[in-house]
Amino acid sequence: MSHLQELMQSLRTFEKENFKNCMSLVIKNHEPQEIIDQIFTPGLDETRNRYYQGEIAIPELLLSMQLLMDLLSHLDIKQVGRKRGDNKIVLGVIEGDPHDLGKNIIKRMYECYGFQVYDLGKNVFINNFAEKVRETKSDIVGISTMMSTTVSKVSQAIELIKRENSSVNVIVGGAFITAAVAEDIGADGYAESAAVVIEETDKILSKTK
Amino acid sequence: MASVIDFTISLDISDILRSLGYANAEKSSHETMHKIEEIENEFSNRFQCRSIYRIVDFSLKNNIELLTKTGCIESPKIVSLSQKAKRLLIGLVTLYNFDKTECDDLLYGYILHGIGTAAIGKAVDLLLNRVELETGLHTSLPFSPGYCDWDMTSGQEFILDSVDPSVINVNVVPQSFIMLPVHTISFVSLMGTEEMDRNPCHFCNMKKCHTRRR
Repeated sequence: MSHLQELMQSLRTFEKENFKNCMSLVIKNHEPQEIIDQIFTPGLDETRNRYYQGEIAIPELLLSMQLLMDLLSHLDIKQVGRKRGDNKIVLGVIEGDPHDLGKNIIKRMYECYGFQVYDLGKNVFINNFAEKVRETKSDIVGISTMMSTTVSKVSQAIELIKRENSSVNVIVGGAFITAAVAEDIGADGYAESAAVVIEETDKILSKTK
Repeated sequence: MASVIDFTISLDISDILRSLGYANAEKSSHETMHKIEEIENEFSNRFQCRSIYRIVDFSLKNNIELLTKTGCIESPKIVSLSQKAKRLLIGLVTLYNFDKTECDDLLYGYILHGIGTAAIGKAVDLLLNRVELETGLHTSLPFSPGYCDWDMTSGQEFILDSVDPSVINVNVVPQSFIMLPVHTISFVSLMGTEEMDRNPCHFCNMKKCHTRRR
C-alpha cells in the first residue's frame, strides 16, 4: 500500500496517530497539489457523504475535518489550487439565540472547502450581518437559529442585508427552519445539515454568476 | 416557596453516545471514545447539578393563556396540554463546575457539550421523578422558553420571576436571557393525575433528526 493510500485509509478509520505518521511521509514524498487532489478533496467529499448517508456521526465528521485541516496546514497553500479561495462568507447565530455548536461545525466545513469565513459568533444583532457584509464585501451570509421564536429575527436580518445589497445571497439553517420556511422568510438557500451546506452554497453561487 | 435540591449525576456511556448523536447505526471511533473517557475521568464521572423549583396553581384564560400568581404563559401547545393538568412546576437546573473557556479543539468542545447536555437532561429527569414521588402526580415533558411556540423572552421572564436564579448561582445576561453557566435549563412541567407524554420527539417536526427517538 502506498503512503497516499495508507493516509486515506487511516482517515477512513479515524486513526489519528497513524494519520499523523503517514502524513509526514506523504508530505516529504509528494507535491502539495497531488496531496490535495488525492487525499484532501476526495477525503473531505467522502467523509461528508458518509455523514450524509448516516454511516458516521458528527464526532467522526469533526475528527476527519480536523485531520484534513491539519494536513492542509502543513502544505504550502500558495502552491496549491483551491476551488473557492475567493468566496467570502459571513456566518452567525441570530440575535437571542445562544446555540452556536451547529454554526461552528458549518464554519469548519466552509473552511475545509476553502471559503474565507467571517464568524460573528452567537446572539448576533440583525444589523451586524449587513455591516460585516459591507466591510468584507462578502458574497454570502449564513444565518442559523435553533429556536422557533427567533425565526422572525432571521427574516428581519435578511431584509436588512438585501436592502443594502440585493446581490448578496443568504443561506439559512437550524432546527426549526425548513426549505419552505427559508423561502418564506426570503432566504436564497437552505442547508439542512453540514453534509449538504457546500452543495447548497454552490447552487446559490452558480445562479448568481 | 421554592425548593433547592442538589444532584450528583453519573452517566452511562449510552447516555453520552445518544447525546452525541449516535442514535442509529453509526459506530464511535477509538478517538471519540478516548476523548469521552478523558472528560469523564476529569470529572470522575460525577457531574454536580443544582436545581430550584416551585409548584404553583394555575388557571386558564380563554384557552390561550395559562395564568399563575407571578405571570402568564402564552403558548397554545402548553395550554392544550394543561387541560389534563392540576398544577405547574417551574424549575431551573444548572450544571456547575463544568464550563470551560472556549477551546480550538472542536471535537473536544462538541463532546464536552454532549456530556454536559446529557448530565443536565438527566438532572431534570431526576428532579421530575422526585417531584412525582413526593406529590403523587405525574409530570409532563419539560418545556423551555424558545421551543415549540413559547416565546423566549416572555418565557424566561416568567420563569425568572417565579424562581430566583441567584439562589443556585445562575447569572442571566440582560436582553438576551442567556444563562450562565451555559449548561442551565429553565423549564416548566405540567402536573396531573393522568400519565403524560414524556417523549420530546412527539412534539417535534424534525422527522429526519439523527437523535430522534423511535
